[in-house]
Amino acid sequence: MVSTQLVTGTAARRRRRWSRVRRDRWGRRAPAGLAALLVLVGLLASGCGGNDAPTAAASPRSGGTLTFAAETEPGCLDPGYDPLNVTALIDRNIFDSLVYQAPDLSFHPWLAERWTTSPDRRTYTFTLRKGVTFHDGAPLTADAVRATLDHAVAPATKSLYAGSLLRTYQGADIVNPTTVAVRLARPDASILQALSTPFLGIQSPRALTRPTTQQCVHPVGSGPFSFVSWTKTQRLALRRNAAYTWGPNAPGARPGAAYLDGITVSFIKEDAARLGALTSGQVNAIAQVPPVSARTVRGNGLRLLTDQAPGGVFTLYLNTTRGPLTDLRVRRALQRGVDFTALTTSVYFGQYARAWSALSPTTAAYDRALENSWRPDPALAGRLLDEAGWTGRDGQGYRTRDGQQLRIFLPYPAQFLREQRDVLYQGIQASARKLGIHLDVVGQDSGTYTRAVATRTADIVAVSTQRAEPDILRLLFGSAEVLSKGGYNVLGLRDPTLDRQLDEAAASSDGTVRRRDYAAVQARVIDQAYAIPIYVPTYLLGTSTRVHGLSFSASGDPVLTGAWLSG
Amino acid sequence: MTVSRRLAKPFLRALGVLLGAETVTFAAYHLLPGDPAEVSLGVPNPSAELVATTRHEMGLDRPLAVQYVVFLGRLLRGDLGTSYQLHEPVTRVLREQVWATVTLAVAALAIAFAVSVPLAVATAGRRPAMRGLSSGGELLLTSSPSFWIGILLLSLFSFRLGWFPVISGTSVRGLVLPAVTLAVSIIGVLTQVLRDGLERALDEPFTVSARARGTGETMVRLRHGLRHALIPLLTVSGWILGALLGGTVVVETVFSRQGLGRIAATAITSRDLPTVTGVVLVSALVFCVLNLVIDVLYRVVDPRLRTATA
Amino acid sequence: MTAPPEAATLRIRGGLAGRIGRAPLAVSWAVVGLILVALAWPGAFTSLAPDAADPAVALAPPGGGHPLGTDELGRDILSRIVYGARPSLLIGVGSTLIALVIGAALGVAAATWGRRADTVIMRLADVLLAFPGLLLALLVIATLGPGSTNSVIALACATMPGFLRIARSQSLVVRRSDFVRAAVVLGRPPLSIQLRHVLPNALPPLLVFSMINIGSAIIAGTTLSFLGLGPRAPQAEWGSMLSTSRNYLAVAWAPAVFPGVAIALTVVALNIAGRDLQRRFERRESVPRA
Repeated sequence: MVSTQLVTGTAARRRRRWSRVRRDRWGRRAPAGLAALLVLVGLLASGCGGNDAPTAAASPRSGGTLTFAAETEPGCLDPGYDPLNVTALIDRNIFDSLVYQAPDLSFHPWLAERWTTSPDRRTYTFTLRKGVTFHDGAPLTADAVRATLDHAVAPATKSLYAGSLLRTYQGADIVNPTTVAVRLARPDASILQALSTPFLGIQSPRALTRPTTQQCVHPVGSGPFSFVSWTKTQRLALRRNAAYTWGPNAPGARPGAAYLDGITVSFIKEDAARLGALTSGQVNAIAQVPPVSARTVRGNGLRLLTDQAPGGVFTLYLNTTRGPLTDLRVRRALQRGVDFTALTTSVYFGQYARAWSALSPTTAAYDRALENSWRPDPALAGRLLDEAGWTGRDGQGYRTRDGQQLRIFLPYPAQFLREQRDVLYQGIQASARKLGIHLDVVGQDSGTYTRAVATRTADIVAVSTQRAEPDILRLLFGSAEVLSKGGYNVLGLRDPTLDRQLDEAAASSDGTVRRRDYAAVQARVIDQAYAIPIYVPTYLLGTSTRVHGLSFSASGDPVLTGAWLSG
Repeated sequence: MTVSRRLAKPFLRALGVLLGAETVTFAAYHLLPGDPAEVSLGVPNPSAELVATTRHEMGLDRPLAVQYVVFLGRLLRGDLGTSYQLHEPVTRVLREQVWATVTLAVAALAIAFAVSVPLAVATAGRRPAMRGLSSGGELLLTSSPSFWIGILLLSLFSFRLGWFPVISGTSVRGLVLPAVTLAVSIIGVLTQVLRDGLERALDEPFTVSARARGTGETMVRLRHGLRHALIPLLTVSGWILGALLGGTVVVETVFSRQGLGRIAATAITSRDLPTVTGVVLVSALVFCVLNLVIDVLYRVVDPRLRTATA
Repeated sequence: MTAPPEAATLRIRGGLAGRIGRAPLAVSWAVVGLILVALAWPGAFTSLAPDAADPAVALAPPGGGHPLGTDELGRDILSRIVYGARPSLLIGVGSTLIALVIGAALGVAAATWGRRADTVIMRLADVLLAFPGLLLALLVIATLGPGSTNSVIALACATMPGFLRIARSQSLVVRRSDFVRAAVVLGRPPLSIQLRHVLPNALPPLLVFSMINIGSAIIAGTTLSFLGLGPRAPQAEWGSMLSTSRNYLAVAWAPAVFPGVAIALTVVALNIAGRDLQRRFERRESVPRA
């Protein structure tokens, strides 16, 4: 209950913030095709957004090692390569960025003391802070910035995400040792936000000359913690950087050295085991408390910090280009025939909010009017299917038309399964069966899944896409935003009305116009049943009462740098 | 026959078996659907050029026979390739993980013997009720999947009672439940085999004469019986090792323990073939070595075999 | 996981077989009967569908309309266990049958086709035996991909060498017997000798081994499902039911207990019934043949 209030409060705060959002935030940032699919797989870190978690008021105390259990393990610690949330969480401690984005989404100086924008908005000139040294002793210079950015876009890096953040990057010019000018191909308002993420954290230029494999296993930055060791499948250790004095002087950040002596991240994939590690005191904090146990966590005198992810909620995107879902009546039948509210409540034990719009409630321009506007109506669903001609029944009780079974194919990548979505799918499957729809849910390896999506043989693609801007709607539904162009509209939806509204919203500087347009888009997506939003992904961070000062970053990841342990 | 020639034959056979095992894994790698280059990239939708480069880097564009020779050559040099999933040389992954598994297996074996030996000694040839009870229990244990036993132990002792940590880590306390779970899977067969050997030995003339000399029953069982129960034990030692190796896959998964078994299980779900190959080859190697050792031990333990082959 | 060694199985001869009490024997055969009913007509045990979800009663404890409680989607556990018998036993029985047929054929061939065939076949078996059973099954699944059919193939590969060895050693014994020698002298074609004399006489021990192997194959099959490599959801399967139950240990015990009981009960019953069969075979065999 605490968390519900907390989350609602945050949502309200974000909505209020909306009108103050700087123009910069409307810039479009779409990763390249490869990374886009990873987003769809649900692994990528988000754009901006986030909230402050409650912290105890006692005075901070130095010392101690925070032990944190993560649910996934990075493939590689080079922020320029790896796309995972957990990599961002770890690398945030090791790497500093040029600019800092506060939880209220405003930008502040960090490694860059100040910056200016050229009149054509194609050159950003950053003046670097003096006296910053990397963990290997190298000083921060303009070279390091250029090397880091070049590294992210270099083909040899095979970047899975950071490169896509720099789609407009042309190159960096070293004006003098402490001044660097970043040139863009075209104005890109999202560049500051991109530069503030851990994925573009500034790396030691000396370290970047090492072989790629070294960068993966031994990252060198200038952050409040330095890398100590990483034993694959087990744990990763970080040590406090005592010399650190260059943190951002802004809300949600800490300018000086960390309170903690060190951080140990262990990797525990199994939900129950991770939770057990917290309740038995083996670790201080864990990622992703399983919803079933949220109550147990509170009952055991532990704390639960929650943060609703901004952007696209977990949604079933329906294939309108081929198969039975080209028929609006069938799409609507699926949308109205299943009680998604009851399913969400039971599968996630009331910890995840039911989603009514494709946009998360914590995103600007979220249309609250959609809430409860399309309640389940199995009778209506049955009528719609009859009208659509699916009136026959086969031996298994599924509807047929012209002897063909009403089969809807929903593949998912088994390896990246999370949030008990398989259980959710089974629940939907059981309800669909009652309607006479054969929902064929298949867990696949990532290669097979990619093929099913790319060839559009999938009738449904189910994903969530974290990002705090309503412009995510364009990436999801704009007809130009197909996979090969780096968009998320993987099933190739084409709706001129949506395109017009999305373009108008993107072009307008008037908050009211945008809000109206985005509301119209959200409403049309539901009205035409292009997509069925299901739940709002929510980070459930469990901690012991000894841990203080944890918060969520603008991108929605837990921030460990400001944490401290009470006795 | 000289000693060296006698040992050379099983040794050559073991080598042949290993070569065969390697060939099987090579075939699994290359002849079955799925492009290893595409899988090794580990990302959805790689570009055609990237796949082509990787294919070339991995030597997949060469004839299969050449690839096979290269594969064997790399194996001889101890090069098992790089794990797709962990981005680390497989040999290093194996080195890092092997001790956790060895510790678990040794602890399980110790527990299993600590339970089985007294149980067998106490029940061999004794009253049917007691023996029946014991063998009933053994049957129940061998009939329960070890992952289920692990779940039950975990739920009772870690979640409800809080006696043992939920993730075992490297502590001794954390080793208890996984080792017990693994031990349970072999205790049944171990006890049966030991008891059977004991019973047979107790019927032999030398035990009868020992009894006649007035040696106490327990002494007879421990001194004369157990030694002879060792031979059937040797026969099933291969099975025990297999059960232990296979069991670690399950036990390490249930208890979130590090080790070869868990690495193998995750490698399989993510189609990380170099790692799978590595684990399989290591276990095949262990098996072959064990068979060699058994061959030698047979001769040491059982004098009849020694004279028979001589 | 792996099948008990032939040594352990053959040892049971005259060991435990004679000492199974009447009561466990009757119960075991009754359980085997119940399993057969569950396979043929699952509706006899429950009127509820195994995939009928009712989120409102998710993770309910045993009692009321759900004698064994419900799972995380409110599906009836009893119903899922009853319907789950099919895939679980299919994998156990199917893999054993395939292993039996291939193992018997290769074993008889090794024993009767001369030295070279024997060497080739036995080295092949050695290679397969060099892998621990479960790992071999995992290797097969790693290449073929998960699923029911592939589980059957994987376990058949893993257990086949055991059958092969028994078939070979039995055939060797039979081949040296007088009536086979007589048949050879009479000039019967080799294939006919194999089919009419060698195979039938090698069969009884193979069948007994099969019966006991089914039990361990069921355990191995549920283990594959537990590791997420078995039949696809929403198919109810004992191993995958237990696998899912781990996520809900803190709030519900029923989903973690009853499917396991089903596995243990089935395997125990099949084991005892198998030993009983074995005893009958042996009694029949001790009667001299005319």
